[in-house]
Order: sequence, then C-alpha cells, then structure tokens
Amino acid sequence: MNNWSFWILPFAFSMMLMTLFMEGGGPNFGWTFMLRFQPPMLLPV
Amino acid sequence: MTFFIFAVHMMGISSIMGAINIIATIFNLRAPGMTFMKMPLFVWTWLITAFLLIAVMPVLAGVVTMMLMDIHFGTSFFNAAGGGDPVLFQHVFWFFGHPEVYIMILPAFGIVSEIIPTFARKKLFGYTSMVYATSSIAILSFIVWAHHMFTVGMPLIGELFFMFTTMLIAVPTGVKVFNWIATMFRGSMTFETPMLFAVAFVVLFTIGGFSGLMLAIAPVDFQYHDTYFVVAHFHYVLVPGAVFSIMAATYYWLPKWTGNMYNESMGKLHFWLSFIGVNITFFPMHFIGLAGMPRRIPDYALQFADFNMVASVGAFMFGFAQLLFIYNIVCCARGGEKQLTVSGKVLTGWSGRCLHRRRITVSASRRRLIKVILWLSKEQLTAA
Repeated sequence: MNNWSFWILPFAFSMMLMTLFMEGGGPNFGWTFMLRFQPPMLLPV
Repeated sequence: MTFFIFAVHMMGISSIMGAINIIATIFNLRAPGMTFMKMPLFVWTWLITAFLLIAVMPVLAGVVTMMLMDIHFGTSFFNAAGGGDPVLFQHVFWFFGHPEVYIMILPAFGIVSEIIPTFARKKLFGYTSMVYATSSIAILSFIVWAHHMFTVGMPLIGELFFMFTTMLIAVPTGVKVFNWIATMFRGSMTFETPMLFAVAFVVLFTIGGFSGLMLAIAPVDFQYHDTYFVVAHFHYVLVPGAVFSIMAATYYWLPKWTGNMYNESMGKLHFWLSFIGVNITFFPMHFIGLAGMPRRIPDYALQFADFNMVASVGAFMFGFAQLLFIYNIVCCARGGEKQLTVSGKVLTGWSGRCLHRRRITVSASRRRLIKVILWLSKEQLTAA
C-alpha cells in the first residue's frame, strides 16, 4: 500500500500535465476548478 | 477536464493510502513505553493530519465525480439550467478545501514545535495543550468551510455561524503561538538556520493569522472578498508558514539525512534573502487588496502598477534565493562542511546522524568568549 500510494503519483501528475500538450490545452479554471457552464446540451453537436 | 478529474481521483487514492499507512504505523508500531502523550509533536501533528486526509479526500473525490457526471453523463448537479445548484459545488468543494489547508499547515506546526525547543534548549512549553490545540483546530476545521463563501448569499444565521466558528479557531492557534514564545522565553537561544526559519515562521504566520481574523469578520468580508487582501493573507500563512517550515526542517534534518553538515553562512544568507523577499512580495498585496484590486486579474488598473512592481521585485528575490538553498543541499549531500569543536579543532568521527551538533558547532566569536571564560575561571581557581 505504501508503494502504491507513492507510485500512483507520477502517473496522476503526468496525466494532468499531458493535457498541456493536447488540443484544448491544460486545465484553465484556477485553483478551485469551478465549472463555468456552457451547458452541454447547448453545445453544437 | 476529464483528465484532470481522473488525475485528482488518483491523487486522492494515493493520499488516503498514505494516510492509512501513517495512522496504522503510529497506532501499532510505537516503541515499548512510547505512550501517545510522550510522542514527539511532529508525530502528533502527522497523526491528526492523516485523519483529516482520510476524512476529506472522499469529499473531493465526490465533488469531482459529480462534475464528471455533469460533463459527460448529462446530470445537472451544478448546472442551474438543469435544476442543479452552482453554490452546491462551492459548499462541497470548501468542505474539502478548508480541512485541506490545515492538512498543509499542521505538519508545519509539528516541525516548528520540534525545532524551537532544540535551539532554545528547553522542553516545549505546554506539550499537552499543544496536542489538544492541534486536535481542536482539526475538529473546528470541519465547521468553518463557508467562510470562503460569505458573499454567495447565505442566510444571516449562516454568516453568523461561520463567522464565529472561524474566530473560534484563533483560540487554539493562539495557544500554540503562546507556547512557542513561552518555550523561547528565558531559553539559551542560538540562531542557526533552522531556528531562524522557525522564528520567522512564528512571527509571519501570526501576521497571516491576524489578517485571517480580519477576513473572518463576515460584514467586512464583502470588501475583502476576492481581492488581493485574501491573496496576501493566504500567502502569509502558506509561504512563511508551510514553506518556511519545510526549509527549517530541511536544514534541521539534513545532517541526519546525509551524515554531513550544510554550510551555515550560506543557509543564513538564504534565510535573510527569503525573509526579506517574502515580505517585499506579499506585504504590499494587503494594501492593493484593500484599495480594491481583484484576484486573478491580468490587466489591473494603472494605480496598482507600482505596488505590483514592488511585489515582483520581491518575488524574484525570493525565487533566486532558492538557488542558494538547492546549491547548499547538493553540496551537503556530496560531502558537506568541516565541523569545529569548542577549541577550534576539526571534529572527526562525527557521523552527523545525531542532533548533538548544536552543542558542538560554535561560531568563532562564541568560541573566543568560551575560551576567555574558561581562562578566567582557571585564573580564579589558581588564585584561590
């Protein structure tokens, strides 16, 4: 368990950081990640 | 966003497992005779921090899961258009978020409670009250979350409740600050690098605490809310709080980790640059905050430009000072400094793994003073 709790972290952080290189860019909602609603149903399909 | 949510889930799992490990270790693997009320305070604060982690990480997982559902599965937990409530997000987030800030600061309290007694050469004043204060801070942290949301339109009774519970936290925190000062009182203090950081922690954390008390006052929070005053407040509690205590701990335990001594003068230089840099960076933020500069604004009004410039200068100073820190750690890990005994000889056979270095390492001037005293006392003895 000790090992898991440590080795999960590199995966978690690399997953978060790899969004920087993806289409749409990284998370851009500030520390508290409040969703600014563009309600999904209103998005063009 | 989805990646972010999944990453937060994984970090949450990691935190919970780490916390379980800490609790299990402290409960089951204490040395014989090491009762709970004899444990070092750093262990106590970690134990309490681990409980906080276990309590709030599932809440964070819950809120990001609800968000995941909102994004991909058509639910409307937080979407007012679908009958949800955006304020619910804030409540659930801060129910996690407030204990989380104590998760960041409680181990810092523990570190400082270890370092100050060592360099004041006295036992920690009020050990029992320290334990109870830490526990009550942890418990109170669960009933203050909405003080982050005074302006979302809560009922008056809610504003009052969260205002008073928040102010209540000042009591155990005050007990802790009092105990640290009382530990130093009439101690034979020396100011090696870890102690400098620990004393700066007490002073600057208290400043951050006071601005926290100001923010706790619900009626005036309508002015402070989302301004740079808040930014100044939480940087005063987290940078000289959590960050300084991490630096203090690094200097304090580096000899234990590496078996070598770090460079004391470089450490002190690092401390003073950091101390001055931090204050230049964050103190002006109080003023521009009260003058009305909002947080998270890329193009602030022109009248704030000068103070922002000052803050930037301080930030660069603080940032570059950390290069000294890294250099010092690397040098220490690769061999470290020679240690001198009271009589000025190079100390041999010191493995660095014990904390007695503080009685052995003496500055040149202090060494001269000790020599004079020894010489005088010898003179007196032979005269008599």
